[in-house]
Amino acid sequence: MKIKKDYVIKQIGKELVIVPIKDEAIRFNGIITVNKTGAFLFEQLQKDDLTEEQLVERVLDNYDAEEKIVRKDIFDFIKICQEHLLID
Amino acid sequence: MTKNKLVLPNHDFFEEVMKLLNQKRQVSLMVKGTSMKPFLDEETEVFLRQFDSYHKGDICLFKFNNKYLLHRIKRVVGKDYVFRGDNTVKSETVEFEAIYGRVTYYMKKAKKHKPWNFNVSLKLFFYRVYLKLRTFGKKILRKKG
Repeated sequence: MKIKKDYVIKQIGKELVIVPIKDEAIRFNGIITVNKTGAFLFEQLQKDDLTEEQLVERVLDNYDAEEKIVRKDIFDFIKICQEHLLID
Repeated sequence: MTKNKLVLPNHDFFEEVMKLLNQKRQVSLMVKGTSMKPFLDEETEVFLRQFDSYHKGDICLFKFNNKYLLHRIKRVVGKDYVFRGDNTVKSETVEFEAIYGRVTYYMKKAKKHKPWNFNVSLKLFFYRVYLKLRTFGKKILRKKG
């Protein structure tokens, strides 16, 4: 799975936000906020076409976290992305 | 799915908008406030782009007294751009450098609108007459009261 090209991630002040690009415009209507881990997942899926398993591996390589928690967080993240039609 | 409103710090948000407009990108944002009623309200999404020149009737995003405003150009006097909200009586005068971009079109109730044409100018003219009459009426009522 991969993030659609119609989205970019931006830091505005302290907030990390996913901003849609539609009709050639960067639209600050319909933005989604993410935390640092969410931003990391977004960037990984923006760069490469990854499976859920590969995403888990990348997080475990970069963060000192429990695998069980990582799996749950990634599952939730993907679910939200699917709900918002962010991924192909 | 529920829609939550995220309120970003004004300065940080407009810094980003300005950066994107300077890169010649088109940016859209939701309108805040009522100063541009009846044309723009909080349900309106405006699409902005930076241009080399701005003219009477254009709706522009600009900085005035440290505030970010989206008002219409009332007139251009030399280097000065005089702005006024369609629903306000006060005007703001700024120079070209304070203007970030102009509304190319806006979306309201899923319909695309042009910010300036003959119909808009006509509607604006009558709205201004209505505002003047309303102010006059209020003054009279206050005197009587």
